[in-house]
Amino acid sequence: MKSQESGSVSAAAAIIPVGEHIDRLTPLFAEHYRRVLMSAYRIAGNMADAEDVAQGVFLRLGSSEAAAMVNAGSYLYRAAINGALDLLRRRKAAATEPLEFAAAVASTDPGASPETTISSRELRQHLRQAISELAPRAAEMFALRYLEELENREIAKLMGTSSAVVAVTLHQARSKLKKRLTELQRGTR
Amino acid sequence: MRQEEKSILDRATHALQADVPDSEAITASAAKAAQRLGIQINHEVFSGTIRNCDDVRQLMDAYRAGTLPEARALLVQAHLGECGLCLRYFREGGVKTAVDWARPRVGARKPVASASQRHPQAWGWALALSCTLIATATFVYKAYWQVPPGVRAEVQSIDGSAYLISGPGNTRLAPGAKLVEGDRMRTSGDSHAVLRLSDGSIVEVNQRSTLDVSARGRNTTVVLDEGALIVTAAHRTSGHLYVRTPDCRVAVTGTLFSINSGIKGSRVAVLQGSVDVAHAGIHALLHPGQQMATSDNLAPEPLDQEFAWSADREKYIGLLAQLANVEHLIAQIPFPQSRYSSDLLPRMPNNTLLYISIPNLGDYLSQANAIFQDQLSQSPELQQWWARGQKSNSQDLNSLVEKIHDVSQYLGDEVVIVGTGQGSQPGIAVLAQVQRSGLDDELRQQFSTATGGLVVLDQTSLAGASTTSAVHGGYALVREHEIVFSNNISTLK
Repeated sequence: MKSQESGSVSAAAAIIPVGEHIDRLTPLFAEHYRRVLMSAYRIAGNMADAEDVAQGVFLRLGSSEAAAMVNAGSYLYRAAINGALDLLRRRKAAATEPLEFAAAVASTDPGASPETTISSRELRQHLRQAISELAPRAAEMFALRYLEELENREIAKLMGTSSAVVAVTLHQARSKLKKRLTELQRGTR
Repeated sequence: MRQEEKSILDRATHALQADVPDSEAITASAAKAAQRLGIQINHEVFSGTIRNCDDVRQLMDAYRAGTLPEARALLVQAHLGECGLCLRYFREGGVKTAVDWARPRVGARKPVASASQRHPQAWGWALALSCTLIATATFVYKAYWQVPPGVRAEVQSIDGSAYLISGPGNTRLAPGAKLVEGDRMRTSGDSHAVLRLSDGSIVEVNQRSTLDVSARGRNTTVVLDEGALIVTAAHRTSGHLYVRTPDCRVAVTGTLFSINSGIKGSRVAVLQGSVDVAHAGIHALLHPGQQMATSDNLAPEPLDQEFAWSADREKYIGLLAQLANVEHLIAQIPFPQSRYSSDLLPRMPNNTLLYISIPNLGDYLSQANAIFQDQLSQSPELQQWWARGQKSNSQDLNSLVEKIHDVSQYLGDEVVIVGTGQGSQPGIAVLAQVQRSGLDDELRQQFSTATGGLVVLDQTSLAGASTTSAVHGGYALVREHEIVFSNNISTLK
């Protein structure tokens, strides 16, 4: 499965030139790739999609003057979260499930019981589905607050709004997620 | 129902937070992506050996950004806990937060013509608006965010050595030294210190702990970067005392608790009072004897271990032992035996909405209270604990339990709490069987007072009672074989 970056990122392992900004991109890659990948992975739920998103984010950064950003980390993480959220929404529309999800059942924590693992996997799946049904702005705020663990004021600063708006949006998003999760949990019992 | 929904969301959020690929997969992915993008990565960041301070310092930028693999970040953090020079280098890096979350910006800003230059007539309005905003902001700032002047904490005693590390060089602290806003202190290995905060709270600092104390408005915050503290928080009339670690924040007032922050996460253990722990956007309330860790990697520890390093450990451990002894003795009291039928259920009205059946706990409570009072009279630690944490004295508790016990002797084995639907005014009542005569006199003697208290009724007086009247102490309807307590007449009728 390919992400929204499929137009610009080849699936082949060929070198993709990122232009004259390569020197500025290299330290940013070393510093931020891991967190960008993890941000995308938590939302996308599988490594292949997370890699596509992360790679696309760095590709865009390298092919524009954005590589000279003072605070490129902020751009990278936000772009990774939004890229992964777009992917979730498209996955929901396509109603497909990557084979990797099935593999995740087998590759579990040796200390965890099968019931716990499946329950935890189901919870993650359901939360991802519920997040994909939120409005894009609310979904992004939720990811920044509860997955990236930013404070409300940091989210407000990043998204150009006030902390009060962030708090209200998060409250509404949590209410919708609680309701949707309960429905999804009931549907699986 | 709402609790269940909240629990599902919290569990799902935790599950998603914990869903991270392993470090081998990340390293492989980084190598693959770097190859595709045609860039050379510094493999030291993703793998490689850390041999000395120089190697650690090369990883500082990625460590600050929170982007190091977990295992390598742990190594860097462990080194920072041991090496004062690298810790200073890390602090001097100038970046306090992991990521600058301001909106992305490119280079220097180009000068843009202001509104006043384009529209001179807007200047007057802008000035007026600015003045208003400045006045409002000044008022709000002074009321809530002003940094109050003065000393934040005073060093009461030091066993070993402790240093002020926020200045240009490390300054050794001595008893009586004052810490002001921005001062950061660190205790050396095998050293302990005791601080007295400006609000009277006492903070005991374990070895190799780094902390500072700041104040905003009426609140005081102890920021613990690493190490362990035991905090005896003073009662405050306004504001809160907060203790913040890298991954949680504890809000306290009038409590005694320990907090331990290290590489794996933080653990909070409460000995007295209650604390509110905020971690990853979720709040948890801890009560005496409870502990909480911010990471699954932190296994639960016996509570006394959390206080074992303290100079006052005898007092804390003695108190813990006393509380455990009381708990053990109370656990020996036989609990009322299980019942498999209910005599009161058939007597419930048709509009019953809620039915809770519990045993008659009068004897159990009385015996538990007798054990507690006995232990309290023998133990100075328990007496101090009770005097510090409870507003009422033990005689009040004794008297209340005795009254409940005396009344319980008239009742059967079963006590029922019932909720009934009375149109727009639902009522709550407590029912029990009566097995001895004289309960009405006993209730009047124990709970009725000249100025009010419990009103005891019989069937005749209930018929004449007004449904609109209400008393603070509630009503008791005593019949031949049963008694009903309620807070209003209409429910009794």
